[in-house]
Amino acid sequence: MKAAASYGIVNADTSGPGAFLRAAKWYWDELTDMFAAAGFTSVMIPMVPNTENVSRNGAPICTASVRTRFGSPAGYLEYLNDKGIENVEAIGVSAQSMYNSLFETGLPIEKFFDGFYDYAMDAAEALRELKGSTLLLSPTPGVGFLRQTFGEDEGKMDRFLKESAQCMNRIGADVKKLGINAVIRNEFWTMLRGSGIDAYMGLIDPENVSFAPDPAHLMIAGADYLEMFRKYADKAKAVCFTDTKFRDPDNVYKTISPEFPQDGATQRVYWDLGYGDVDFDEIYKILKSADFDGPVLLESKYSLDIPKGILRLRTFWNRLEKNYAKREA
Amino acid sequence: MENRNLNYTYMTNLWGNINYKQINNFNEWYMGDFGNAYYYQDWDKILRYFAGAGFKGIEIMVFSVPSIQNAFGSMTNFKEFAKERGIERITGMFSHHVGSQDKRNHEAIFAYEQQAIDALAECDGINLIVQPAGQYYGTGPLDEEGLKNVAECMNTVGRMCAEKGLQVSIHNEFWCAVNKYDHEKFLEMTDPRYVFYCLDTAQVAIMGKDILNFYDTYHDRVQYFHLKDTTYVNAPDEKRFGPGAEFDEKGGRWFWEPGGGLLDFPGLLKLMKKHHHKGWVGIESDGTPEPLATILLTKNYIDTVLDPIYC
Repeated sequence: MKAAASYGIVNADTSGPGAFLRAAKWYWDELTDMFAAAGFTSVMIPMVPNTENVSRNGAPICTASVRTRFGSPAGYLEYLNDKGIENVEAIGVSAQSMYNSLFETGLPIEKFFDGFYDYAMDAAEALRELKGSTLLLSPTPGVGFLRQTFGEDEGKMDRFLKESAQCMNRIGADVKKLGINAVIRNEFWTMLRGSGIDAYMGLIDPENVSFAPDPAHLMIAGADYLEMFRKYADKAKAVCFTDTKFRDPDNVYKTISPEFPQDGATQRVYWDLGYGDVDFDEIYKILKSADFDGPVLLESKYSLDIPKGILRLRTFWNRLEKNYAKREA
Repeated sequence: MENRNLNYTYMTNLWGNINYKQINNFNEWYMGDFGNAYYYQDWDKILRYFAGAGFKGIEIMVFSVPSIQNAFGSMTNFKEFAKERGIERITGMFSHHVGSQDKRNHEAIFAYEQQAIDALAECDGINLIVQPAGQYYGTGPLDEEGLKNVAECMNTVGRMCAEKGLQVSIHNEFWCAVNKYDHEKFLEMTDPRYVFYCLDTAQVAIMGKDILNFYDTYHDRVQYFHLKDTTYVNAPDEKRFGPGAEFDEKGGRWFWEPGGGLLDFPGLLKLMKKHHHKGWVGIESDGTPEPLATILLTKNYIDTVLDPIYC
């Protein structure tokens, strides 16, 4: 098992004022040093599709911004190596990010999965140069966004989900040729949520694509996350670790800002790893029992204090390994 | 509202993305982290900061519209929520026309802008503030055809705005594909009946223009302002034309609150007085690391330096 820390810890939503600074290369120079100083040698980078507006960013937010700043993914890897990061273990690509880019690209919804395939393959090509193993796919946009597009037409929603599975299979087959594992992540606000996951995975070719369960998202969607880990651990090529204290009694997942619940006393969805309700000791034990040896993608999504959040990632992982060793002894 | 020629409105982009209407539980954002996150997450407090500092208007970003609609149910509700907190007018909205140099992109831009215009009209706004094209890097310099397309795109959006009782104004970033060498030419290519100009003092000064001379010459087109300061007047082409020029590689700060840099705001106010300018004047402080300090410094500068000249 190998921990890879996600750059998704930085965001424009809860990281506070100073979004301009976080788009400067200088900021990422220092952040890269911090991940290395916290003992991480592998990272995961969530990437959005290449568009003119985002490619000017100094953050490694898409392959175009990497190419603009470093010449190529290989040039970026050289930079990372110099700072003590050995590889980019995983790149995340998300159907929601694809959906968000439709205005700027002008791509019609009918061509959605053609665009998603191109976006994923471009990321996979970069990942190969970055000596990574895992392309992390979030297969549908948010339910709320799809409802805006398709209304209450269940037939269109079903067709979209099936097209999504076909697209994941196509991506899986093609990235395998590059030596990359395609894995699918669940998010509580996409169509791949809770009890719908098994049915979706039934449409997926297990030879080319596997499921990377995320416990926080399973918990929010009301699924038994430990059971899901037991079920999928032996086939998993990667897993996601995200923490939460949030439950979703009001079905916030159906809205267009599901990660920001507007009502009630519980509005914060994600917590730094180890600060929520997920029983990671038990998950770690399940993974060990299944001889899981893939990357564990550590994501303290929407951390409120990024430098502290990075150190907390390391503390979390150290404690997890220590607790397991103690229990085994 | 007191009887003034000028009222100041503040662009809200200095806060980053605001996703919550109101945070209900302090402890959820404090316990365990012990930081200040609670204070910058929601519209409730951010609107009260502006009103508390004496600003009566705000501007919003087009990117905020979906989350505002989700949080408030409608732009009308947002407007009422702001009013209850002392913000009398949502005066403007920033948008952009990335790709407008290519006519094939216009239909998509118009569709997008119609949504922006409808949202702005719903909250009783005044002015759609538009970056006319994408960044210079990878796009500029624009040839005659490209510049003409950008102007036509702006004219059409100007007519769309007029149909809803709004106005559109050009907001010319120092890193935009429309730049120093075609800045005035571009303005003159647009239709003065429908397209106005929002003078962002820092952006235009960084581009290498004398803001007083520009305003004096084009005061009939300059109906809006983004007052902000800079210490980097007349930046060389290679700084402005590079990839992501807005985000300085070394983290350097382009923009400061009025009075924090080198620009002659007293001179500008004297010209505004000379030309009898009336209406909302925007403040924009993108890039500040400390919004509250910047907002208060700005208000103090207005009270002690600008108002005595013209208000």
